[in-house]
Amino acid sequence: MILEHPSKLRLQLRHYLAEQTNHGKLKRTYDEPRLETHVGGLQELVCEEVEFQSESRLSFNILMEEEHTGWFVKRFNFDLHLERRSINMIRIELKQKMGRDPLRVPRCHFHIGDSKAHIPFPIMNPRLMLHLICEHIEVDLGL
Amino acid sequence: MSDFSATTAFRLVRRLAMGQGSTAMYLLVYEEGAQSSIEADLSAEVEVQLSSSLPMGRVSEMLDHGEALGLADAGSIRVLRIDRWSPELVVLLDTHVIRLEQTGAQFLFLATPALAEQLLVEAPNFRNRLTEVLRIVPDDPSAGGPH
Repeated sequence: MILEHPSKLRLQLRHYLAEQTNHGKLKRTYDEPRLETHVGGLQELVCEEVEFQSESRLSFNILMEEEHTGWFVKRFNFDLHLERRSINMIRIELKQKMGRDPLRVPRCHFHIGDSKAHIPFPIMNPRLMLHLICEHIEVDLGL
Repeated sequence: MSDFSATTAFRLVRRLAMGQGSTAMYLLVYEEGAQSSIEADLSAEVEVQLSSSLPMGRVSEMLDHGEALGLADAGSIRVLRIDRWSPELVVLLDTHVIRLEQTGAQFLFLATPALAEQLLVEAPNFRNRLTEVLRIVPDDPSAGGPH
C-alpha cells in the first residue's frame, strides 16, 4: 500500500479528527497526530490520545518507511478504549513482521476485550482505519 | 507586536472554513525567516481542509503592474504578501478596502512585524476593517496535544 508522504498524511488525519470535533464526536480539537523521525529515515505518526464525547479514548501510531515507489506502512496500532460498554477495548495491529504461525497470529489482526485471540483484519489505508473506528466501531461496539 | 494572539495555518484555515462565503481580512504577522514555511503551511492546509489551491501574490507586483489587488481573479481565499513599504501601498489598501469587502473573499495579508506596525498606523481605514491581526507561527510537526 503506497501512501502520501507522512507529513501530508499527518495533515489529512489531523483534519479528519478536527472534522469529528466539528460534528460533536470528539471533545475538543487536537493538534494530533505528531510526526517523529527515527533512525534510518523511518517516520512515525503518533497520536497520544483523543477523547470522544462518549468518553471513549483513541490512540494510534503508524510507522512508515520510504521505498523507491513511495511510502509504505510498516506497522500500525490503533487502540480504542470504550467506556460503559460490554466490550471495553479493541486494538487493531499491523505487525512489522509476519509471525512464525500466520494462522495463529496474522500480520494484521485485532484484539477485542480481554480475549487473547488474534482475529484477522484487512490491511487498510490509515485514513480508512480512522474512519472505520470513528464512524462505526466507536459508535456501536459493545452497546 | 508580540501582543497579538498566536495561530497556526491549521487553526486559521479551520476558522476560514467555517466562515466561507463571508468576507474576512486577516493581517498575519510572521517573524523574519518564517515566510516560506508559513506560506507552505497555508497552502497545504487549504489543500487538505478545503480541497482547493491557494492563490498567493505580492503587493509589490500589483503596485508595479498597476493592478488593483487582482480582484478580478480573487478566489474564495487569497494570500497577499506585503513585501515592501511604499506610500502607494497605503493608498492601494485604504482606497480599495471597500472593494475587497465586496468580493466576499477571505484575504490573508502577510507582513513582517515592522511592515505590519507601519501599516496599522498609516492605513487606519484598512486597519478598522480588518477582521483580526494575528501572529502566525510555523506548524510544528513534532508537537501534539489539545488546543
